[in-house]
Amino acid sequence: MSSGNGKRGEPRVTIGRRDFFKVYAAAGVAVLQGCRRRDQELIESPARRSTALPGASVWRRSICEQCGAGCEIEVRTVDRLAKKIEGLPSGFVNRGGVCALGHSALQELYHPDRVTEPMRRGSSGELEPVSWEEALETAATAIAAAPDATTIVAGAPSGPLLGLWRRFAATVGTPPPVHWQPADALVEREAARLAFGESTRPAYDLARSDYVVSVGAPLLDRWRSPVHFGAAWAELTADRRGKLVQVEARHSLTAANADGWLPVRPGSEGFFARGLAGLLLGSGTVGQEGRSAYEALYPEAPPDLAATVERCGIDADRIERLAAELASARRPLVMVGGSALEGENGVAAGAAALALNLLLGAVGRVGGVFAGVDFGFEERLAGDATAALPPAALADRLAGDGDSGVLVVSEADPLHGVPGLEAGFERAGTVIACSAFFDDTTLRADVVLPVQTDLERFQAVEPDPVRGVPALLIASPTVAPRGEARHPGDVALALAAAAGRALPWPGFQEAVESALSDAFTATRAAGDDASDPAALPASLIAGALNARQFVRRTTDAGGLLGTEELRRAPTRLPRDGGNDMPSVLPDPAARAAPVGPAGVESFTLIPFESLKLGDGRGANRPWLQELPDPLSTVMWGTWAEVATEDADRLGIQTGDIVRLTGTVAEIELPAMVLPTVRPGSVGVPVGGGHADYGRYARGRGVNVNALLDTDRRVAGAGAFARGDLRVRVERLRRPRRSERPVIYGRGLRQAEEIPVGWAPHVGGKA
Amino acid sequence: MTRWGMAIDLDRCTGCEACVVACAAENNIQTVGEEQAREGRAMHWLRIERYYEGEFPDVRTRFMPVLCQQCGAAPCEPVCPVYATYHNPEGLNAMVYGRCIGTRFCANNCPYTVRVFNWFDAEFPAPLDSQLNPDVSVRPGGVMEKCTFCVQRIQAGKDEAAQEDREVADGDVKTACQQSCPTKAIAFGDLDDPDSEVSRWAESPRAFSLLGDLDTRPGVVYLSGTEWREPAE
Repeated sequence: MSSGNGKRGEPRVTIGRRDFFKVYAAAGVAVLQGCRRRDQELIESPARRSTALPGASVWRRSICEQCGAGCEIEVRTVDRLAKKIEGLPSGFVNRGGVCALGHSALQELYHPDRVTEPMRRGSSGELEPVSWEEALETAATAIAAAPDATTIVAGAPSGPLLGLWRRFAATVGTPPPVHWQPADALVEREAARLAFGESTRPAYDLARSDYVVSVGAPLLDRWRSPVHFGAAWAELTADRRGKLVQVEARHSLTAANADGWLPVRPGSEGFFARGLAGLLLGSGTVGQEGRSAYEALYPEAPPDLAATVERCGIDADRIERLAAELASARRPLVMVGGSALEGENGVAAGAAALALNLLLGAVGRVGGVFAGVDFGFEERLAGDATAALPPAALADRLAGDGDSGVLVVSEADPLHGVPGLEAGFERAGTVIACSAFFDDTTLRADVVLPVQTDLERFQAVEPDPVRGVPALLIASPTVAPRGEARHPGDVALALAAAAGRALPWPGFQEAVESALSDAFTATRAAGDDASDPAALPASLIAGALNARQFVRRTTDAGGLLGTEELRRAPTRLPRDGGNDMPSVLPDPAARAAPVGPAGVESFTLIPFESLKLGDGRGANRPWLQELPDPLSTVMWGTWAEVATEDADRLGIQTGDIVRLTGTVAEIELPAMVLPTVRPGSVGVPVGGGHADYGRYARGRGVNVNALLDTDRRVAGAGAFARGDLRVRVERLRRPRRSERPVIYGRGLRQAEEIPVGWAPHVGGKA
Repeated sequence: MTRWGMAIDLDRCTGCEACVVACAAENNIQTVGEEQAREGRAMHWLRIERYYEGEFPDVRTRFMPVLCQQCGAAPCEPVCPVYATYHNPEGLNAMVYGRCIGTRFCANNCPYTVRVFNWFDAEFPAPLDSQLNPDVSVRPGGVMEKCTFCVQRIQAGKDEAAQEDREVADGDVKTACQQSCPTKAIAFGDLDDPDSEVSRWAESPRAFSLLGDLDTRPGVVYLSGTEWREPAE
């Protein structure tokens, strides 16, 4: 083809013979290619579609956010519907396991009573559906009118989402958000700060220890990561290699499975730890380094054996045997958590138990205790925003008789956790709830913003540092969101924008990607300087050419996983003098007497999280409601665990309705008489007694949190103290039919005439 | 011929019940609600039995997952008047739901009390039904049901092996309970394959059969390093 020879401005195009054939051939190829594409589309498209064939299973990786453990899961989807959750075999925390609560996330997703559209309280006083724009405008106007008087309550576990709420608060001008979290988590951090100098939940190398003393830590119940600790416990006890001894007032699932259970008097766990230290110091087996580290923290002599026996209610020979076995173990380890930390002296008790690791030389060694490290993505999203406040700060904000201002509650149910806050909520000008359900708090809301559940949303989670190895886990949504539900992070960003204080990202995903990008830049700039807190370990960015590629690679890979080399001891141990803590730890023996009525009918209340309902989150799933509690075998309700000895004395039989009277309230519920309960104590699971929370939870069971006095706090931790509370137990009546506890009666021991014995397996074949 | 079997290591079982919920999710097991559950009509195919050992304060609680033992000489099979329950060639006590007329003779004759009866039609209020496993039928009222060893997974494992023109390998088929177990207390596979994990577990000196003296020749083997005592009650 050539051009030329034409008049100026009029290019002349001539086509020679050869050119003609070229064009003809090219057009023919194009036409043929076009045909081929259409043919291929017809023939191959079903197999090449981005979605699977109808009825085919597609497995998608996701992250379970039912608790803060951060288990990686695989979700089976068929026709874009989620069918089944399995543990990802390579899961960072869970290694293929899933717990009962994790499985039930499907019933949260597909719950028939979910909130799927924004709502606003209308002139009739009822919540009415509105558009997102209207709901956001109402909420944002209230916040913008009085940012100082706005209280944010964020229920997300520590990590990027909490960081975003902190940034939201700083940008919009509200006080820092209240982080709604389990009391013992907060107390554990503070105890670790006192004993180890780092305010993170410690990592315990249970699997490689050979003798573990758990002071109250319900590691096989609903605690930090039941799946991780379950697997670690199995490794510890495989072939009877190691032992677990549980020091806990209640016969929890952990106590039930432990090789030894020491049912100490509730509230005396810290004293017990000090008494144990006394025996260890006197045994002559403790190294000099451990001895000096411990004695620097506790210059006073520990209590003697007689005092420990007296205070803790455990026989002397059992305590001596424990101390002797602990002293002779090669890799001893002491853990602390749960009810040991929930009394007013929880921090002192926790520090006393953790300090035993210093004495035993277990800090930073294989089979010992490590620092709970993370990549700091909460801070990266928070920027320079102030740290979140502890739960008790909410009570302080709501104190007094005046207007409580504006309350923004995201993915938390403080009114179920602490019913005593109800009056404060009633005085609030506007309550804004970001929630997927009408829980006790959302019922009070003036604006309801529906949020997505785990499987519907983009996820960026920093798992509980149970392994002592940092990680950031990222996953894309597994299924389309139901109705108009949005990501809670996106809701925060939309609220900020509607209030005229937009944050620099359009959505939560972009915020996380931006934080990743900044982390890359900081890491590249830091070079070999490992001390820069903004930098990641250099190996994590190796091979990435630029920030964009790093972000893409990280999200495609499902996050950033640290390696075992990043596991480390706490670096600011008190003995190094590298922190600003008091050099001497508080004495756990200096404990106020338990509050509540005295007398023969007076019992110490032990509220606990069952593996069925957890803190109450599981109460709206029929699978979990109908799951028999493994210890009491109760389904569908709340029960009070009473010791056989006490029941005989008070004339209580299983099923009888009893009244528990505390200092601020009373509750009535059926009793379960169990031979495993420590006399003088009464255990009640939390999680029941929801005002609504959907048809499976509504009015089911009793909320034991009603007995919680909001004025009682764990000293130094900002958490509500639910331990050390005494209640009067009275038998009221035999239950009416509808009041009888639902006890799972099926089992071999119910089958009379059947010999209940065991015979060797003979490999029988039909 | 494959003979499917399971081994459960009681020394690893913590009683966490993840398996119970996994089973319900996989097999479309209905929840019956508080009132029916109070009547003893809960439908679990797998339960965790609880036993006490010793007395307070030296008390210990032990747990035992109990499911259909897929007996080689199953007491439930010969009493069915309509052959709704039968022994399949691979060792499963299979159920043909369509045949079942609800006499409940099988449940009456099961020494392990693992069979459950649908007193009513199952209810899965929308959109809870979105979760139902399309590979497993939802049983109607009047029909008996029980653990199938996740027969749909066995079939899927066979199909996949056939597509790849090979035999089913050990570990190809995992039951729902086994897959979710945090402590890996359950092994499943071919008891006739001496190299399979389940066979190796079954050869352990800790292995025993539940109610072994009934000679039902169970396909489920339990492992325990502790001698279990008869319950105190």
